[in-house]
Amino acid sequence: MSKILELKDISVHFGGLHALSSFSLDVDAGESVGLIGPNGAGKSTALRAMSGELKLANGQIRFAGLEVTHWPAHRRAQAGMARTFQVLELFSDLSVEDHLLVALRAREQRHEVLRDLSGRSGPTPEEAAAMDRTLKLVGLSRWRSEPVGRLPLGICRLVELARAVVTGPSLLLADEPSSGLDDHEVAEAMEVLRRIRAENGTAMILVEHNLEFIEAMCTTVVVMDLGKLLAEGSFAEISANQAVRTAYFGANA
Amino acid sequence: MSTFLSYAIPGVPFGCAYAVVAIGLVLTYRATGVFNFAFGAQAYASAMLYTVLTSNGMNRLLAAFVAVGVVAPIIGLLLDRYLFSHIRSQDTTAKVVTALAIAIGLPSLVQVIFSNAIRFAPPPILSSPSRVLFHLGSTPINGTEVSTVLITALTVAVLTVLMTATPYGLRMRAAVESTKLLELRGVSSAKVSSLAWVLSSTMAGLAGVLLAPQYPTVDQQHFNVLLIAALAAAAVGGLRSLPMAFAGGIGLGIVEGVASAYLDPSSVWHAGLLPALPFVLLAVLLVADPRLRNLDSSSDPLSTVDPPARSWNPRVPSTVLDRPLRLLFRFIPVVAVILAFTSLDATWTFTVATGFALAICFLSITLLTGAGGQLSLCQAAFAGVGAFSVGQLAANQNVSVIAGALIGAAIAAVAGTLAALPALRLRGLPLALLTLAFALLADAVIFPTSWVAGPSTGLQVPRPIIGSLSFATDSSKAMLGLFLVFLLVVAWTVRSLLRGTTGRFLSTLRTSPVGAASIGVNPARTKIFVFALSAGIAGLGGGLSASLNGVVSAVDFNTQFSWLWVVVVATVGMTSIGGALVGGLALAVGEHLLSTVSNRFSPVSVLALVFALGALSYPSHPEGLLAFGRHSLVSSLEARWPGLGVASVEEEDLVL
Repeated sequence: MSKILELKDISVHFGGLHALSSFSLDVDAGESVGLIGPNGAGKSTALRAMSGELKLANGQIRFAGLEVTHWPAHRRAQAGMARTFQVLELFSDLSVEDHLLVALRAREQRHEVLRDLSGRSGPTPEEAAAMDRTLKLVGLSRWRSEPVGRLPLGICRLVELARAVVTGPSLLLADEPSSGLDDHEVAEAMEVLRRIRAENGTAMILVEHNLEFIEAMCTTVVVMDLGKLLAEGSFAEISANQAVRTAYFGANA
Repeated sequence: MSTFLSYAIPGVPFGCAYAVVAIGLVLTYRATGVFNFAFGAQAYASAMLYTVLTSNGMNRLLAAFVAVGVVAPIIGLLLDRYLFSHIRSQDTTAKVVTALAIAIGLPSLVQVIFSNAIRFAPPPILSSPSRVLFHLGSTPINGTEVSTVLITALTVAVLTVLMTATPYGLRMRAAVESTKLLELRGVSSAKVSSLAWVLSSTMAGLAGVLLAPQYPTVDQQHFNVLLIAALAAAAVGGLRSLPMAFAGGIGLGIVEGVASAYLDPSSVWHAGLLPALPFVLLAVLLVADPRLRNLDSSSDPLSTVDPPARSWNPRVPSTVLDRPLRLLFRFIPVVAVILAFTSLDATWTFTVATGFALAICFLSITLLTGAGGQLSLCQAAFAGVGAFSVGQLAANQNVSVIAGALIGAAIAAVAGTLAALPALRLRGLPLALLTLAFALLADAVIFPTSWVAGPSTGLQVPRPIIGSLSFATDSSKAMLGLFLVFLLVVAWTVRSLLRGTTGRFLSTLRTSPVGAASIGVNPARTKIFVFALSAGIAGLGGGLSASLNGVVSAVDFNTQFSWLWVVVVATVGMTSIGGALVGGLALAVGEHLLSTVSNRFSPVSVLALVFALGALSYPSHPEGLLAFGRHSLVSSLEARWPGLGVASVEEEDLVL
């Protein structure tokens, strides 16, 4: 199976702190990888390094067969790497459907001033179709023209997800998609992610504290501790791993 | 060594004043989160007061005590109590607009109180400038120098003891790290903040009184130079370290002294490089120092507990009232324009045309700051680039004014692009500071040179001629019509862009740059585009206004105007086209009305004061007074006739 993402010995330093040291990971196309570990293990740092928000101290990143190590975040996004955030990064004065429209246009770099001036900046039939499909897939159709500033957190997480997948990305990086949601909303988020994977075949890297979420969603689980890879395997293998139990529950576990 | 000393020593008193203000800047910024652009104004206020008191025969020490020890801290306390303590958790724009309002309003108030005359320099607090007290090597040391150094050393000593050896100092240093953690420990951060304001305002006042004797006259302009030099000094310490800020200030003063002595006074370097030194230093530090670049991302571990910033479009429009109101709001300008053409006399026509030109300039702020979230403090400088281009092209190349205005707009757009390039990685406060450095650089270095602004009497700018149609001075109505056409074209352009993809892209950049990058918006391209377009629009407005006035000089587009414009647009409404139009007309009409009422006060001062007071409403009404007024009107109509059946969805209904 072809690799969608290859991380080779990547390191990220914040001053003297080695938040990520020589971390390597391969993700196959369409695979779902869960990234877990105690707080401060470097999970979010790893995600931000993949998406291009953080500069690497050393190491290499290949995405969809391209060498993207020195690409800025927006270029990786245009190449098909999508992302959601632990703390929401929505555009507070745009409506739900404008989030999708602006994502479609940014991906295709369609910033055409002349279209704006001639008043033809509404969605094209293809864009409208992609938006409708994604809104239905994520279950946001009834909120489509609502400004996101007025929506509750659970819906906002879905808006971020819809914005990320409307362009049909080949890889989705999701940072704690269940954070702050109640049981019902977590179940809904899982269902949506499953539908996205089934319909679009999107590969996913999920950073999560909710282990049930990881067990239900991911074929591979990667455990991190202190900026390093601690273990990798199926959920069952990881649960049985003594090093993982020590990192999570202390020496007596 | 002795020659070096003789060059360095005259710079020391300046360095002392810079250092004192720099410490004040760092202190308030760190302890209260407000970057106080008004310290220059506060220094000016104390300097003016000291000057007036001493010239009326008051004892110098007593006058200094009143100006520095009584009035300056009271100003600081009032600012904290009634303004800044209420906007702690607001966004950068709200804090900057409020500080700018003070920076504009306070000197205006001083000029209104002490009338508009420029005062001659007062004597120093101790000793006298002509008296040589002793020689250092072979360099004579005069009274001003000794007085300044002694007082500064005393101040720093007192401050050091206060900061390191008293519980107040400990609390203030803790507040610098995290005001929220401090509150959790049971310390009132409001009191710490008041103390920081009192201290730093006293220091600003002191700097003013120290600096006033150094210049031949007490002029507001000198205190802008003081502000930027202090800013550069504070930037040396990363806006964090007090000792480094102090050293930076003294060092900058000495470097200026030495450079002015070594450079040939007749050379271009002396005229150009020397005044530019602090701006260049500040700009380089802002771009190069990561501590300054990331100024807005707080190091406070509890910074994320603040509620999110208010959304700018929080209301769902009323379904019943919206249409008639919108029609009404369109109807009013149409009627006003018809009336302007039919029944206004020549002076009023001129006033309205001035308002139109200003409105074009203001639309550049609507686009850049209102929609793009890029806080720029150099829009008047861009307008100036357009104005001087028109003048120079008409005078030297014989280019027609209309073509000149368009070329001027293009040149301003290039200037905007150049300004955007170093600013690519900056937003919020660091961006405001960098653009401020550009604006003051234009004031001090670029605009005063004769190849830009022409002779010192000002650059003549003719009225346009299109074919056989002349817009000469006697036909103001034709000029008004021409301006209306330009205004409509610019307003329509901005409106179309904001409603289209451009507006959505700008919105992503304003509300979440990280989110924007995550979907593939190229931040650099978008930013350069909006800066260039905005500068071009401002340049067009500047060129038109120069042609209307017939003459343009270096002071017509100085930093004060950049500040005033931001304050006016923020007050009236930064997010709508109507805000820019109403703001431009209000400024022009207000100035005209005030000039007819009284000659005693400078109309610009009074107007600046009025708008500065208005801008204090910005933190609670970021949508602007225009939109606020409209919403209030709708609400009161709804309250009176509930049967209107307004389908306004309250926010509570949506919380599931």
